[in-house]
Amino acid sequence: MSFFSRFTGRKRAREAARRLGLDPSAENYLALAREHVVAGASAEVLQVCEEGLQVHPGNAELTRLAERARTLNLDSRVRQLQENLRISPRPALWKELCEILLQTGRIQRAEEYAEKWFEVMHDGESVYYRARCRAELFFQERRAEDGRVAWQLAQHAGQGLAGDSRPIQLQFEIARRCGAWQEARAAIARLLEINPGNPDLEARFRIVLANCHETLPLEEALQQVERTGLFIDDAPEGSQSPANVSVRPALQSLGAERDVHAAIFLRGGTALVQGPHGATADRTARLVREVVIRTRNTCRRMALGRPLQVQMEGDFGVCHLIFGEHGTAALWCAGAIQHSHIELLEDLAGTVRGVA
Amino acid sequence: MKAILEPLAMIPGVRMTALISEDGVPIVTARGAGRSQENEDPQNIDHDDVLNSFTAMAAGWLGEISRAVGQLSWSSPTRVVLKATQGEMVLQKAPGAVVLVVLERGVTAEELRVPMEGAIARMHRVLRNISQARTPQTTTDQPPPGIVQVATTPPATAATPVNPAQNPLSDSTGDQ
Repeated sequence: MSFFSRFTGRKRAREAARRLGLDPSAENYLALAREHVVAGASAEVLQVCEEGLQVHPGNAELTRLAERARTLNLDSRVRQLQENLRISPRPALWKELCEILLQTGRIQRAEEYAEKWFEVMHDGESVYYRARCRAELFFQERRAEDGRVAWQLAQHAGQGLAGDSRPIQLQFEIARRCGAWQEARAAIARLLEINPGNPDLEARFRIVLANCHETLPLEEALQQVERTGLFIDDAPEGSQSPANVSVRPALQSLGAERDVHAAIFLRGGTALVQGPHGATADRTARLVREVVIRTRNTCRRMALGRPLQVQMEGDFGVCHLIFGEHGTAALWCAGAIQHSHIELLEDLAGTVRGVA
Repeated sequence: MKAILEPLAMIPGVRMTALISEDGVPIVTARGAGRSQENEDPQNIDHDDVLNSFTAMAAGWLGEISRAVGQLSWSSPTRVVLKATQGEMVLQKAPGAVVLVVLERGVTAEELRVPMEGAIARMHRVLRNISQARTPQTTTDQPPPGIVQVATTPPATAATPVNPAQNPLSDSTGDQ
């Protein structure tokens, strides 16, 4: 950045800050944050966004910008750690790197680093991180093979880290989530041996004991998770409501756009359709539901992981579906779908940014 | 066809490309650059048997989607992109077949739009050339069957000289 750009950038930031002082609206917070983005000051961006979110909680734009700033900060720390590891590889750096990568959802990268760490150090901590990465993959993709490997690695890590409860905690989590209650009981009993009298663990032990009558062997439980795509405590789709966006106004604003034929939001058995009416609306909702079900099954069978987006193009135009935690949002347009539409659909569906 | 698909497979981030029949049988496949057929993971798409089932499932999914959109009387989609956590898959209709491209994480399907359309256009051209080569060549002497040959003498034009003695209408200028 040249001196002149830096100078004008500072002037614009001061101007935006002055406007924010006069009117602390979400738009003015955004304007100031954007000026900091242009200046490349990610720490300031995060600070302004967090302040803005305290005044305007749930503002989608501010949340998005704060997330991006946070990711940028973590990315720069990742680069720094990689550089340090090249000079002097040591467990604390490997550990921090794996933690950051897991935190930002880059599980495969984290696993690669954990494997490199294991090759260099051969310690229990690296095995634990390998197990954790695999377990995260299992929780995300629901492949039996991942669960099996995570379980075995956690067992090895437990042997290397005597007295450490983390590998056993991981085993407990794997067993509990897929309904292998006997294995979960054994794991929590060992946790209680390490932390005797812990009220939280005792409460969990009682819950596990109560479920032991409907236990499945671990292998069978893992296979069942792969087949159904569901864990024991998975809430039915759509039980969580969109936190940042209210569905109907967002659908209405999408439906009012030029070239948009229909905007659909699907949550569990309920569908909201903006655009078509009557039987056509029913058929549109049914179409989206069928595509969602078929795509989920196909992704699982093809080991593609969790579906994030589907785009269909043809004589009918373009139909774009986004899968998220809150449900599925879809848009049927005559022409190309704009980036702003996709962002709104992601907010509606509750997509975890960074994964998509 | 392999020569058409291989440039697609050479694009960075492309894991595999295949031309598959509409019922999922692979016709031609090309693996992305830097990938070998041998891979430790038996579940990996780079193994031939896994590849066969992968293409069958991809075609099956396309068929299911086409049936689903049929409810609104939409025609079958010509291009479908599926983005998932473990990668991205693009299916695009080609003449009598489907082009399948599997992408690594971090590559977007939009980057592949133009190369895929180019490959499909080349396929069209190759098929057109083949069909033209198979059609029997017709000679100029023999017209195609079903077309009757008409008189070949050129019609008289206004500039043709006319002998008035041989033309009974030459003097009939309104006196009769």
